[in-house]
Amino acid sequence: MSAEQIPEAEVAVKHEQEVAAEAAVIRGYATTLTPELYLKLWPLLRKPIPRWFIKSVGVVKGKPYASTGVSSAQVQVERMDNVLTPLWWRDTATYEKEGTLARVVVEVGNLGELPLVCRGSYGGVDRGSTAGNVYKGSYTNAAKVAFARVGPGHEIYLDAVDLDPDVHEQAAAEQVRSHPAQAGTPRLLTPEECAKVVKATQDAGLDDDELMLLLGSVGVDSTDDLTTAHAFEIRGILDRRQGS
Amino acid sequence: MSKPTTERVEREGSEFTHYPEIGLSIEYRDASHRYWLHHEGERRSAVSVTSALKVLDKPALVAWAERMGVEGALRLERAGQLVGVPPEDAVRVVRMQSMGADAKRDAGADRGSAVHEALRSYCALGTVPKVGDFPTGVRGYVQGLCRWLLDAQPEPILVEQIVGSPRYGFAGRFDLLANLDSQRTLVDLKTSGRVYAEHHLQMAAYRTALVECGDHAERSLVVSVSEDGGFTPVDGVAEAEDYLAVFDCHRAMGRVRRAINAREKAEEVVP
Repeated sequence: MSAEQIPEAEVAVKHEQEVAAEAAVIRGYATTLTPELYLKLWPLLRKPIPRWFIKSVGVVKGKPYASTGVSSAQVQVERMDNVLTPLWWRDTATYEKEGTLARVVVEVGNLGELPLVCRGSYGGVDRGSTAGNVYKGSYTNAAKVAFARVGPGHEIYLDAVDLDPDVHEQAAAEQVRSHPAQAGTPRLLTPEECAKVVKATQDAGLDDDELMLLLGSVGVDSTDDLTTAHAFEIRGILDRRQGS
Repeated sequence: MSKPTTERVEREGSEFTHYPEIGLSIEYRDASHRYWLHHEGERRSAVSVTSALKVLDKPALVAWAERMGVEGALRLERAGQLVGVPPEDAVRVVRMQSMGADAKRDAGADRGSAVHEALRSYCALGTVPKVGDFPTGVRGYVQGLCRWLLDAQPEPILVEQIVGSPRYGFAGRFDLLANLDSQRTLVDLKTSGRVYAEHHLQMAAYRTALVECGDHAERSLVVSVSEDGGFTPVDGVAEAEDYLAVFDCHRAMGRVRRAINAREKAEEVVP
């Protein structure tokens, strides 16, 4: 990583942290993913992936066209975890033709129940240095599009088709122009969200003075100044208190 | 054991803390940062707990001061403020511009005072610190303090109390004696970024003096708050004899220095 890439990497990571914080506020202490809750979280799944996670590849051997896509499906996996927690989604892969063809299905919903959302895609490779690389390559190509169809990275793979995930260079370039620094400032909580935070502190047994200490410990003096990042931090503190 | 009765009286620039039950009064002058013990009809000078610790070598402090000085000089050089200044004079410009170790140390002292005032105010008056009332550079430390107060929920017994040892002849002021997890705990707050061995010795000294003043602590705890809003509680590990060994060393150095001075004075008057 070059020196000038570091700030952009930080911006990208902060952006994902901010998405995670905002999702945590929306989820609260919910343990079941209802359709209503999913619809509140869905826009976060669809928030554009920061450009630092996107790569463009020119014409290479075995791929006779320039393409743009996420550098790794891992960023999409992270977004799914950050927004839905690892409990409310899963992916399964099936392989054909000695692993050169994969079908990845991503399901969103509660474990053991019918999924609320289900999207899938085929992906393939025609070569690999080892059998493992063949399976890995076909899985990755399928997963990138499958995840994009659920939300993360949808803007990059707008008209992607099975087997050929890295296609929408124009759309990706547009998102790069539109969202140069997604990290920005964390959003201030709405009055309703502030009330939820206060309620959570009361449920945790905090009195007024302790609430003020809690606010001070995240760097604010009033609930009016709370952002999604603060709410995320507060939830962590309350969880640790309850854990101990 | 009965709770010690203390009384603070400001007189002629001195602050007095009285322990009537053991016939001890401790006088403190802020201007000179000196202590005197009034005990058994005598007023005698006492060594400050922290002053005695200055006898210890602190190599990290030298390295830190060097780093601060170099940083300050480089910043001034890049701002064009060292043009034409001979290298051997650069340190004077660095000091004048408050860019060196002295200025950093003073800033650290101000920061420490502000955070200690927040602790005192909370423990003595129940006033929750407001982060926004503090300068930007201090807010992270105050956040750390709030976080520790919330986490530890101390029940204050004595706050910023002066204690002294008539037996050994030292005195000092600790930050807090509080019940923590049902244990009578002596607490010292630090903004130095980490807890050094000297801090453990300091706590051992306060515990020793506290016993002589008719009270006690079951444990000691150094709480280090940091710029990023975190805190680290560290249990004190030093015993009374550890501090007393350093204290003896301090006194030995004092005796030697006085002897040298006396001899030099005597030699001056010899024709």
